[in-house]
Amino acid sequence: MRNLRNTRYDRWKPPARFEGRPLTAATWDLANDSILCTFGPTENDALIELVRVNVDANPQYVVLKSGFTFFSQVPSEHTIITSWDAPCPSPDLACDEVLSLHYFGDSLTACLVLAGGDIVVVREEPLAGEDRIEIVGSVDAGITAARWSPDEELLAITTKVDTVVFMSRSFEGVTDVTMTSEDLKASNHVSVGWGKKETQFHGRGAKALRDPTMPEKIDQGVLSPNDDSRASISWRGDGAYLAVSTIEGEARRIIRVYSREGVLDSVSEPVDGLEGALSWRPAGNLIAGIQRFDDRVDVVFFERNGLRHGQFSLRLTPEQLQLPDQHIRLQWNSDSTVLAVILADCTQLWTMGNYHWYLKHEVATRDLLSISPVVWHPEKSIRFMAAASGEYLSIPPHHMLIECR
Amino acid sequence: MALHEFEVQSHAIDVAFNADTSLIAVLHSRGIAIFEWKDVTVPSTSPKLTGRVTFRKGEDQQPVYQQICFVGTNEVLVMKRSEDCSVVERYGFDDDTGRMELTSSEPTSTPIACTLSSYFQDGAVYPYVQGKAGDLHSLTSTGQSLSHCKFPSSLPWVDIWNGDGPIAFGMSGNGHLYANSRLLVKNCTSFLVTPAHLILTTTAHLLKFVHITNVNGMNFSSYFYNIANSNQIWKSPLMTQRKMSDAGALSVVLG
Repeated sequence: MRNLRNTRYDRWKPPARFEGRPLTAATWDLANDSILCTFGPTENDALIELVRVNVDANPQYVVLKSGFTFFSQVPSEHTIITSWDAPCPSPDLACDEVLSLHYFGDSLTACLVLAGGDIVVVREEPLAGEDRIEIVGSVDAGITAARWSPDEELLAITTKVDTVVFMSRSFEGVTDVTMTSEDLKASNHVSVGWGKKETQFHGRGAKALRDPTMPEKIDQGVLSPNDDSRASISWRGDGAYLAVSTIEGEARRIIRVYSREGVLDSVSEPVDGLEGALSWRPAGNLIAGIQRFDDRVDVVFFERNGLRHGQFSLRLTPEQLQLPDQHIRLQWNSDSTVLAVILADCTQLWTMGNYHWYLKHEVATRDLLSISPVVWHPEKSIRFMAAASGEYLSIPPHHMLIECR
Repeated sequence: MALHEFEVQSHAIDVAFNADTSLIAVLHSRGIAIFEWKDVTVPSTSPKLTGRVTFRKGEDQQPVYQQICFVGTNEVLVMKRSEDCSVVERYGFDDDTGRMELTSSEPTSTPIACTLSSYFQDGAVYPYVQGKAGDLHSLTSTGQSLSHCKFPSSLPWVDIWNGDGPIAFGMSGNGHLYANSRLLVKNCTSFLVTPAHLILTTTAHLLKFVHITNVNGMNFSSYFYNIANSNQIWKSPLMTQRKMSDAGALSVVLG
C-alpha cells in the first residue's frame, strides 16, 4: 500500500494581460514539455488566445558580495502562439465553449473543438499553402462533447441532434451513428448475481423458489438532482472502444459503448442517480461513473457489456454533500493506478489495493473548469495539472501542476 | 485491517517517525498532530495524541504543505510551497508555553525543493532537502556537507549513508538506482540503507545485499536471495538503527 507524497507543486497565474479573460481549456504539450491553454471566448469578446506555458522555469542565482546567495525566480515563461476571433455560429449559445483542446506533437498542431460546431486547427509551422488557423470542419447542429482516441487517429463527437460522429485525423467523416431509444434493447442485462444476497441459499421454503437471477430491486434510471445534462465521452486505453454517456429521452442517463468503427456494442443497465461523470480505466476492465444517493455519493463501475461491477463510497463531509452545483468529475491516470475524483472544493486521489479503495491524497482545488478540469500527464503517471478559472476579476485563473511519488 | 487507526483533524498529507519510533508526526491540511507510541513491542497499546499545531491562516494564497520529518526528539520540520519558493518551517516544543510552536521559517537554499528527509547517525538527526535538479542541501550547520552528493535529476526516493563521507542513494520512478551520480542498477523496485549494507529488490524478484564501501567500489554480485513476489521493502526506522550482525534483524515486507 503506497502513500502518495506530494513532491512538486507549481502554480501559474496568468499575467495581468489576460485580466478579464478566463482560462477555458488546457492540455499537455509533450513535444515541448509544456502546457497549452486557451483564454476566452467570453460573452462580450469572441477572441480566443492560444498560449504555451513553460512551468519548468529555471531560477537564476545571484551571489552578493558578502557571500550569501540570493535567488530570484524567473516567472514561468508563456508565449502567445496566436489569437483569433471566433464568433459563435449558433444563435442559441450566448457564448461559445471550448470542448476539447488537443496538441499533436508530431505535426505541431493544436486542435480545438467548439460547442458552436466549429473544429479549428492551429498550425505552428504551416507548410506552403496551409493556413495558420483553419476551420477544418463544422457541425451545424452544435457539439455536446468531443474526445480524441488515445492513438490520436479518430475524433469522436456527440452532437445536439443525438448523433455520434467519427472523424479521422484529416477531419474526414469516417462514420456516424444515431443514438436512439431503440439502443436500449441492445443489451439484455442478465446478472447471475455473484455474491449477492439474493443468490445465497436460505433453506427450503417458499423463498427458496424465487429465481435468484432476478434481483429484488431493479433501478429505473432516475436522474440525479445534480446532473448537469452534459454528454461525456471516454475512450478505452487501447482505442478499440469508447463509452458515451448521455441522457436518453430526458428521463434516464445511459452509457453506450461503441466500437471504434461506430458499431453499438452495449448499453449500461439502469442506475438511479447516475450522473454525467465518465472515465474508462485505460487498462480496460472498468468504466467509472458517479451515483448519487440521498445520503452519500458512490463511484460505480461498469464493465464493457454494461453490467455493474462494484462500487465504493466517497468520503464527503455533509457540507460537500449538500452543495447544489456540485458536478463531480472523474479521471483515471495513464497507468490505471489512481482515480482522480474532482469535487467542487478539492480533488481526491483514490487507489485500489486488494479490491479495497483508499483515499490517498486530497488537493484543495477550487473553481476548476467544467470540461477537463484535471489532465493527467500521458507519460508521467503521477503528474497532473488542474486548470481553474474563477470569477474573472476576483480569483485569478491559474494552473496547478502536481506530482506525487 | 490495520493494527491501529487514529483520526486527525483534517485529511492527512504526510507521516513521519522519529528515530526510535516512539513519536509519530502526521501533517494534515490544517496543522500537525504528534502521537506518542510507548511500548511498540506491545501491540495492544495504541498511539496517543501528545501534541498539536494548527497552522495560522495567513494571506489569501494558502501555502501548500507537502512533507514532514523529525529533526530531534521534539522538533519537526515541515516543507511547504509558498508563492515563489519552498519554505521549511521548524516546530518545536516550547517549555514555557507547554505547546508546540513555530520556531523558524526559512526558504530553502534550493528554490524548489522536492523532498524533505533526514538521516540518523550516532544519535543525531541530520535533515536535508533535495532540489528539482537532484541537488541535496543539508538543513543543519553541523553534519557534513552534501554538496558532492548530486543526482542527475530529482529522485523521489532518497536515503543517505554516512560512513567516511556521505553517499546519497536515490531511486527514480522507473527503477534506476543511483549512488550520487553513478547509476547502479536499472531494475530496482525498492531499496533500503543500513549502516553497512545497501539492500534492494529488483524486478527479477531478487533481494540483493551490497556491502557499501565507496561509491565506485560496490560489488553487486554478492549476496542475493530469490524471493517469490518481490515488490517492496518497507523502511521501518527500526531497521536503520540495528547493525546487520543482529540475527533476524532484517524483516522484509513484500507488497
